Amino acid sequence: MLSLQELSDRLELEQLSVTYANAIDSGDWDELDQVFTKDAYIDYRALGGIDGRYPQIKQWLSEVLPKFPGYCHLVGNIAVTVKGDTATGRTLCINPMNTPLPQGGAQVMFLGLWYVDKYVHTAAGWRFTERVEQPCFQHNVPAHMTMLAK
Amino acid sequence: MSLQQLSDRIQIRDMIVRYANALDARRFEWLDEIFTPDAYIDYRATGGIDGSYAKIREWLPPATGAFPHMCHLVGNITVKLQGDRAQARTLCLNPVEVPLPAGGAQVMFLAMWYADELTRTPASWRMTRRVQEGCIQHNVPAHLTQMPAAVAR
Repeated sequence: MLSLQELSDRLELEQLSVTYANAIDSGDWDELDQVFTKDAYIDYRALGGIDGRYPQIKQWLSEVLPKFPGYCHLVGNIAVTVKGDTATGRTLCINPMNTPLPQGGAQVMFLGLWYVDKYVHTAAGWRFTERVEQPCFQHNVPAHMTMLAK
Repeated sequence: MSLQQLSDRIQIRDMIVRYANALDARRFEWLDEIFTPDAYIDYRATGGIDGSYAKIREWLPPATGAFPHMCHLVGNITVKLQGDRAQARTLCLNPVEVPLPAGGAQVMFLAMWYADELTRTPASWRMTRRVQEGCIQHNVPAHLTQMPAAVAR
């Protein structure tokens, strides 16, 4: 049987992925300060993004994502393994993105990806120390979006 | 809910997620810790086979090997506990990248439910039965004609 501490850790770790998705989908970039450690390493290169430390990634997100008229990050299949004050995990994300087209209009592409994560328990709660994207499927990607690594 | 009930629900949910991760990461050996050796599995609703776990375990790697990418996003997990037995029902959204005979690939979107029966063993909860129920099929390539139409409900 899982202990109350194990159950609590599980729910807090799962919430972290949901808080991440909600912060990004609502454009609340400062909320991400509660999600990552200051020096967390983030790698979005699998889907055409950048990699780097959290402050650089936060800045990048706030510049790049507003170019998309609509998007969401539906997370699920959250699997975590806790070892004391650290944890590792894997989260699936289905990510529809409404993408502006060069000739006008927009097209919704559907991306599937996993996040491969490392967590640490800090005095303020659990935080990501690492989040690396792994690509899954890509559907209805506009022809001009060649930046998406296949 | 008691701590025992909370624990059971989380452990069963973990197993349902681990099944999805086992397929998606092609770690089929993880399935040995999900199903009982004599479990019954039925994938016929999405064009697969049915049979004992041993048969399914052998069938899965080649059957899914043709697909470069796929994921099984599970949700709406409902668990009914009855002591050392349980029933679960799970919705799964399953995009699959399918190579086309003429080259290139196409992503089809399947959705199905899993109707599961589970038992508590000394090691952990295990599935004794998993039956797919068909829901939607979208953008299925023409050459995949073996897939039956979604079950009328």
